[in-house]
Amino acid sequence: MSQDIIYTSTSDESFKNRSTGYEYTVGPKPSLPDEYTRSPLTSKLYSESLNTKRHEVSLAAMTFLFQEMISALHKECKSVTEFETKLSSYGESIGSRLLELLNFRSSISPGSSSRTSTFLASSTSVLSSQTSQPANNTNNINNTNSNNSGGSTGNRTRSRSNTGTSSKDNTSSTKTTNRDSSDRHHHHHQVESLTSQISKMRRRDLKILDILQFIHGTLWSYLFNHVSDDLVKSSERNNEYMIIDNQPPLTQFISGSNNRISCDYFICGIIKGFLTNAGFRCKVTAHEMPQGQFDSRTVYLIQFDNQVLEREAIRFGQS
Amino acid sequence: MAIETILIINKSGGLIYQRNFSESFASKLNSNDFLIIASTIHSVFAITSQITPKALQITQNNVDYVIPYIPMVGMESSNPQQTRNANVPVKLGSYKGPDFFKEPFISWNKSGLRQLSTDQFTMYIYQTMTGLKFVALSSNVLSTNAGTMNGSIDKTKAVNVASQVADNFLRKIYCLYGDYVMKDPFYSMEMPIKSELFDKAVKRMVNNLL
Repeated sequence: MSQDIIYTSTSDESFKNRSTGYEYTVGPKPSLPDEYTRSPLTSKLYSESLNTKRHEVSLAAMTFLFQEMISALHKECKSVTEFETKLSSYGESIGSRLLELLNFRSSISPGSSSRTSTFLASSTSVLSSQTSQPANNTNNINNTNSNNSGGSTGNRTRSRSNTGTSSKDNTSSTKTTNRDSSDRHHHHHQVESLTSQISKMRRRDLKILDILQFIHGTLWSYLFNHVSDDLVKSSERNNEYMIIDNQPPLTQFISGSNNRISCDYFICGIIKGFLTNAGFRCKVTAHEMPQGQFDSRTVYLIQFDNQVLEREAIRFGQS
Repeated sequence: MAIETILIINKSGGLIYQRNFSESFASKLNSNDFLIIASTIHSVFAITSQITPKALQITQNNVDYVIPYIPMVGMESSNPQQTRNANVPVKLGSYKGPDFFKEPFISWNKSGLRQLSTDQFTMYIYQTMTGLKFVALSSNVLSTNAGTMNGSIDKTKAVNVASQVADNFLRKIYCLYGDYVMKDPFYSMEMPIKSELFDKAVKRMVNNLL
């Protein structure tokens, strides 16, 4: 019977394993299980390698986000052209970043097996150290984990007796220092392992055709997991090229061809940002061209500025 | 099961979608009639949920609301007439795999009207968690040869299977609704659906249903 009596200040024995609820000494407990004992999230964005594996994003989530973007833009824009320009400018900022990222990624040799033989001796040692490094990393993290959990639980027990918030601050500060050190470790390893994989940085494409091929292949597979369905040069005008997508995945649920084409200007913006940042000034527009079974076949028409063509003629000649 | 008409009724009883798929009695009705039918169904549904027999309410806990998954209802591959290359996977919008779902599911329609049988047509209602109702009018009439004991057992079995198929089918329409209506930025909630992509997808699914 005496065990049933609840002492408000010390009664958290029964709450100890609960994930949610109000703890009298600490305050409202976070709803995530083991928030205190878990290692702090190492900030993914900065410690992550630039050469990450393929991340798949849920199409449903992406389209919902896109939908919100469209309807917010739609509300504030007066005309269709304004809408298209703004949507395109959203895409441009993505495209200009992708130029750097994808150039960097494609300069990383796909695997150590493709190395030339002159580097073989060093690469094997690098390889062995690489294989050991991830294990080290995880060890490090595990260590910090256990340290953290030990420290925080210790602090927590103290806080229970002290009813102190100051000790909570303590835990957080120790955590951050721990995190910092582990981050630094992590970062250090990553940088080392990546540089060892790059034998030669990829140069930015200088020819129109080369960079269009890069968009058609690398950019498209980065965005949509497949190469674009066609890359065509206009037969009428010299400065026009077309990238064709049979089934644009992002706008596939939008009804009304005019509406859908306007929304495709987001992709236009990505292409434009990519090309402009690479030094190819251009205009990109989207057009609908149904063909066969593909009702939503979309053509991204790229019109380069004349200066780009002139430059290409001077630099590479017509010989 | 030949579907004649599909209706979608929003949570306040307004008709937001209606299509006829064959020339029948339903095509003689005009849009105003359908609006009236929709709100009538909505109110009858509400009434039936109130007058569920006491006995059923008490044994409520024992009733199994799990609806089994019936493979490939309304999918391309279930239709042998369509000679489609099996190697080409059909893309189902944001759904992965050959079918929209693969598991049995729990019916949200626990107390309301599920099925209405007449000697002209059968009506099936699938209600979603948010109160949206998908109604299918089917021209199939369940035979009324309930003479012997055996016959009636067969009949109840047939009724059950038909209603399960209808639930599976209407849930797939709901999946299409989730893709082509909810993900359309130009659709405003609770308003009539005017998406021709949704139209096309529903039509294809109805045609696949034998």
